[in-house]
Amino acid sequence: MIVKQLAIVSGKGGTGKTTLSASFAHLAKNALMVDCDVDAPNLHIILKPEVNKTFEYFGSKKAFIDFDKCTNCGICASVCRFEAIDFEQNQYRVKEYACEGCNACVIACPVNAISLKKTLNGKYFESTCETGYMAHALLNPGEETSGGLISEVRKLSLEIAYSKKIELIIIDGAPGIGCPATSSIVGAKYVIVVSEPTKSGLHDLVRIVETIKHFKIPHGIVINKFDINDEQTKEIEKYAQEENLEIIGKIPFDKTVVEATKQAKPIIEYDCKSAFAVKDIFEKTIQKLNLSPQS
Amino acid sequence: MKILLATKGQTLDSAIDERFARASYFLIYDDKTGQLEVINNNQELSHGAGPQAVQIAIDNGASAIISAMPGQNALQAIRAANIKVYEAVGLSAKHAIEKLKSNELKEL
Amino acid sequence: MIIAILSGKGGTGKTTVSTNLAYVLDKKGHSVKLIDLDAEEPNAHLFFDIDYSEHIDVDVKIPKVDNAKCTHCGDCAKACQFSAIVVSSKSTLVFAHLCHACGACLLACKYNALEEIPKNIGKISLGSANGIDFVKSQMNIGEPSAVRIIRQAKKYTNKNKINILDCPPGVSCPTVESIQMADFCVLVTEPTPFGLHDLKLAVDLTRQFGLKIGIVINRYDNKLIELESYLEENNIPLLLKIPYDIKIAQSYSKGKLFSKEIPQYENMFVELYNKILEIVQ
Repeated sequence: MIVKQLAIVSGKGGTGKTTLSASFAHLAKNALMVDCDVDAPNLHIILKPEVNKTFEYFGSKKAFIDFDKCTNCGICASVCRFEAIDFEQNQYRVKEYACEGCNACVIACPVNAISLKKTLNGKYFESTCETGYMAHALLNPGEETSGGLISEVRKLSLEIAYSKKIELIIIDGAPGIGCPATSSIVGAKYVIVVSEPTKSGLHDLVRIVETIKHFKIPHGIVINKFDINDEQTKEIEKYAQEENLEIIGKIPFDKTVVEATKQAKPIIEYDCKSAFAVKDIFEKTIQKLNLSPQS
Repeated sequence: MKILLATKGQTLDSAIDERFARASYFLIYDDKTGQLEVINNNQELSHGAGPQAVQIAIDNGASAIISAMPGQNALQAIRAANIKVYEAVGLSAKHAIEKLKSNELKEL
Repeated sequence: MIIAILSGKGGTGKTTVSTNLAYVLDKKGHSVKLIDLDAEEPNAHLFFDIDYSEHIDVDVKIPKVDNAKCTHCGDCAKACQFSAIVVSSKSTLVFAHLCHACGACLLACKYNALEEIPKNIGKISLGSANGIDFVKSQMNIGEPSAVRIIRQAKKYTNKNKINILDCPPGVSCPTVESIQMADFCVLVTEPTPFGLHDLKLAVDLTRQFGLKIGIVINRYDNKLIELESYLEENNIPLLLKIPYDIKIAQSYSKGKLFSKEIPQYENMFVELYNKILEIVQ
């Protein structure tokens, strides 16, 4: 059995990835949903999963000073380039939120009073919801957004897919253009980039497409709320044409989406123009993935 | 020569993983002696998984890597270390090694 | 005074609030400085016609290998926590964009084979737009962390002005760096379950640092009971409700200030500022 992975990313936050992913979860026969936005996950709000298993994620390290061994010489503070060591109440102390776990102070300390300890950055979960299985995670606030946690979630999703014989994994990708977004798309068979017709939207679209191209994964663009700004939509279409990119759908601005989100329901449960567009995009995507019809 | 294979499982029957740097396992196969070493890739790294994976290949004396398409960083490290890399997703490790020997694998 | 504008969720309207607040306060005669700390994706500058006076490079120091002295012992690679150095018998390769510029490798090298060279990670641009002082921070694509640029950009706050900080989205490291030492944090949310969920993360974060906060609800059309009871139960002041008006969305998409295009909306930002003052004093 081959597992096919579809990733939905955006570049800019707030363009509508999760809204689209949630609808796809309901349109698909039995897709395993993965929420890779570990910083601020939202997919669970619509899908309402029940957590079956919780895993702890120890992704980064932070420096810890053993006060018993420490002589307060201050060398650690002088080598720290992140302003993470302060002298407070007669003792050099590590400011955990600023510490990047780089090891410099550990190496520099003349009395070996500092060590790096793994820290709990967050948790990830195996859950079930009305559409099937779901893998998701939550990073602790203040932590460095982590490609590592995302890859754990994705590893988990593949394990579930193979053991439960699920053919399709749909990934609600991390926003942005950096490492978390990359970790969301690696190994996908097809990537949908959700963009919005704004100046900042186009800027970010170009950058995420560059990243996807490096991994040579077929991809298509969805323009969400396209009728907000005809000029900007045309800019995106022009860019798509220049780069030989397919626009697989355009979703109109639709107030029903807000209503649906407030009711924590997927948009396709409503009879409205955006739902129609979403269903059409779903059909096209299933074809791209060479999957059998899902209804 | 020693070959590093990025796989989903711990044996030569395992499939090549769809990801290089975050593959579940690294198998180090010595094609002269037939010896196999299994490395559990439990990197929970936020960044730098690619270079780390290449360092594992180097530290284990591999002169060839069989895997999925590595990311930019890994590829750079692989080239600098003069290691050859071949793509073989969809094959089992055993099958990929056979294809390598008969020059049927695509060198990246 | 330093006012930080943040949100848990991306796309709720941080930049909309910070740019319009800056514009209105300046129009009313205040001395304003707008600092865009979303170094990964700065957008605030799109809403103003800015005259830039200075561009400042933000550099960090990264290692460079002296191949004549390097013995390929691998100690530097072992010291590096970010896998930014890969050592083989033939090469010692530094991955500049993975490097966190921490200096650990230099401390570990016994052969003096590493020296430090500057690497540009971004830039800070200073300028003004019709009387509003402006600072834009911008990180180069591919850099691992915006934190250092944000730290540098924050040094340009002016204690004689109202400093409005347009923060990065989310609640991870760059946001944490941005909100340090703020006199007040404005948390922008939207009245949806998504907005509320992420707002709670942002509230928890600001609580960790003991910061004073207030909420702006963007795209407000009618009550979201859960949100409003959350605010009440936790004693979090609701400062402003920006209505769900397609004209506002259209204005934003064109890169325009909606309080300027639709002057009836000017007053809401005056009231926002007054409410902030009340809480801070």
